[in-house]
Amino acid sequence: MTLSRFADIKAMAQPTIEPIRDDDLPAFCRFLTEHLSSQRTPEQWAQAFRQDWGVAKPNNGFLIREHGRIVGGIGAIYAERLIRGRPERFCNITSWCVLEAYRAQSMRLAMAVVSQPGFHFTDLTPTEVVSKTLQFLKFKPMNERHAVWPNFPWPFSRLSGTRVIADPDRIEAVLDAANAKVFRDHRHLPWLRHAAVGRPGDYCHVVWKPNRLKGVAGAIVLAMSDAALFLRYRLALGTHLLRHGFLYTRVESRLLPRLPLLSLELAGYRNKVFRSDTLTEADISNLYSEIVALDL
Amino acid sequence: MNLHRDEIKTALRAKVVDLARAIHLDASALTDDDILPATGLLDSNAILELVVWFETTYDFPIKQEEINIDNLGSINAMADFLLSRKR
Repeated sequence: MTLSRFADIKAMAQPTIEPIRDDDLPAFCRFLTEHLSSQRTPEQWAQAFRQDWGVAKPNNGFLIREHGRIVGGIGAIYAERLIRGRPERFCNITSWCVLEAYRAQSMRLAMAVVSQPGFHFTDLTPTEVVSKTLQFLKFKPMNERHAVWPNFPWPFSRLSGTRVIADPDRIEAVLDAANAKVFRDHRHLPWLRHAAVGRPGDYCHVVWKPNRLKGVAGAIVLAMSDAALFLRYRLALGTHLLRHGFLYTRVESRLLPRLPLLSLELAGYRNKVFRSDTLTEADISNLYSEIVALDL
Repeated sequence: MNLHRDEIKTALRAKVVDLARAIHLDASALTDDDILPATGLLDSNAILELVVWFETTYDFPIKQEEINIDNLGSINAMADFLLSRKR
C-alpha cells in the first residue's frame, strides 16, 4: 500500500476537504483566531501563509467545509531551499485545528496534505497527539534535546580577526549568494535577529531570538548556515551576545555535529517531526517554517 | 494461537465499527481495502486505540517505527502484518 492510494478513497457523505486558496485565506485565518488562538489576529495568521519563499505554492493548506462553513483545517507553508546544492521543496504543516464534532475528519485532512507529491513535509510545533498522528503517516521524530552553554567574554577572538556583524545592512554583503538569499528571505520578520560571524570569506549566518530559561535572558539560535563554522566561532558570538545582555546560547542538538565544551543538554521537549525519503533531521531547518513566519 | 485471515479481518472490522459508533458514525460499509485514516470514520485517538487493541488481542508487541499506514492502514494491511509477524 502506498500513500498515492489516498486519492482512491471512496466518496462518502461527509464534509468536503478543499485546498485553501488565496481567496479562502481570510476566512480560514478568522477560523484560526476564533478556534485555535485568539492571541493572533487573522492578519497575523495570514501573513505567515503569504511568505514568498521560492516555490509556486499549490495552496495554503487544506480545510474542511460543511454546508459552506469552515469546520477545520491545516495550514501549510511552502518553500524551496538549497540543500547540498540541490533545490528541495518543503511543505511545513502548521495550525491544525478541527472542531470537536468533526474530529474524525482530521486524518483525512492530514492525508490530503501529505499526499501531495514532490515535497518534504515538516511539523515543527506538533502537540503530542499531532506528533503521534503524523508518525502514523510515516513522519519521523527528531532529536528534541537542546544544547545550552554560557556566554562569556572572549577577548582573543577579535585578535584573531573574528568579527560579528549584526547590522542588517552589512550582513548580506559578507555572505555568499545562497546564504544572502536566506537572509533576504527572512529579513522582513521583525522578531528575528541576524548575525554574520567569522572572518572575511568565511562567515556563518546565524538566526536567533531572545529567549528566557528560568528567568535568565539568553539567545536561542534557530538556524546557522554552517554548523562547523558556527561552533568554530561560537565564542565570538557568545561575547557579542553577552555584551547585549544575553547570558547563554541555546541550540537544538540535532543542528550541531557535536556538543561544544562547557555545554549541557536539556531534554524533555516535544519532538518535531518530518517526512522525507532522502533528507535527515540535520537537514530540516527552522527557517522557512512557522517557527519563523509566526512570532512564536 | 491458530490465526485465520478471515477471522482476523472480521474481528478488526467489528472493532472499527465499534470505534466509529462511539463517535456516532456508521462504518458498516467499510471494505477491507479502505485506508482507515482516510475514511473519516476514525479520529486519531480511535486509530491509536485500534492499534493498542490489535496489539493486546493478538499478543504481539508493535514497535514504534512499525506503527504506520503501511502496516496498519487498512483491514487487509493489518491482517497481513499480523500474519507476517506470527509466521
